[in-house]
Amino acid sequence: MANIEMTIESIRVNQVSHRRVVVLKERERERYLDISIEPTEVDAIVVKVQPFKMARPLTHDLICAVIGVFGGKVNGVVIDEVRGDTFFAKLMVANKDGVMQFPCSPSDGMGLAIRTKAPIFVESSILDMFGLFGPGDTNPYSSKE
Amino acid sequence: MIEMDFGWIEWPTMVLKGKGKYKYKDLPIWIGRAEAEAIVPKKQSVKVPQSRAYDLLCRVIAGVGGKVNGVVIDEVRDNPPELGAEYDLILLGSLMFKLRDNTVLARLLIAVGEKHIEVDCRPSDGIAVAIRANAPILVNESVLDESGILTRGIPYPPPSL
Repeated sequence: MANIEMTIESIRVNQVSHRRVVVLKERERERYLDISIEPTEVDAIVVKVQPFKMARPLTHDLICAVIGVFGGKVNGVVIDEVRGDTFFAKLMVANKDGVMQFPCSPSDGMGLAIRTKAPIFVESSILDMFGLFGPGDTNPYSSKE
Repeated sequence: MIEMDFGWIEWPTMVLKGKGKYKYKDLPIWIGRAEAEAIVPKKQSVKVPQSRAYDLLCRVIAGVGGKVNGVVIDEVRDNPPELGAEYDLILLGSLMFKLRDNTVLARLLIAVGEKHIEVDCRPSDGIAVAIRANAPILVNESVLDESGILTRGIPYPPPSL
């Protein structure tokens, strides 16, 4: 299974349910994945997307600090599992002993990835199932072609 | 340093209860909604479907062979008053008191082998992790003197609840 690198395209609010949605865009193509997450978890991402200064470290800053003092480095986060309509992710942390994987939620993973400038990956099968196509991309399943 | 017990959460405050000599002292701390939601299920043994950031943090600490030794609440720093800002009056159980606009500094104590590491954190983060790790919550005496409230032994929440 190939992991596809994504970028955080935007953070939006669903007009119907008022849930916060993080829109991930494939780096190479115009294919999107939207992940609906908790408002507080979104805040942790937004303060890093936009130049906010926080008085005190947020939870994700604490996790980064803890990983840092142990001599670890966040290698990336992989969103690799779906159960029902909930996404699950894995955080990859490298230290001198090798790479460790920790199960986490996509929102935590993205919060840490944006702080450490680590890449965000999504497994291709998930993108095939849940991906949305932008106007610049062609949907292989579209009936128009 | 005084060890305190987790008391209860009455969002937006979390209350730590003193013990021993400080039996009648409580320490209220402002916390965020998400932090409150991360602590309450742990104290009530409710199963939540997805892991939160604190579970990830505990897993990371355990993954590198570390152990949470506790959290220390160090210092209260009053924030400069903003124009037009007013102090909030908070009703906590049967007590009405003033909650100051302040920043509480805390640090998380972690041990890896022989090495002891301290990481700067918010009290709510530190306490959420300490509760998950069954580690003590330590409070600096000056914090308790400054921000602690005297409860005179009023039990709260009432036993009937």
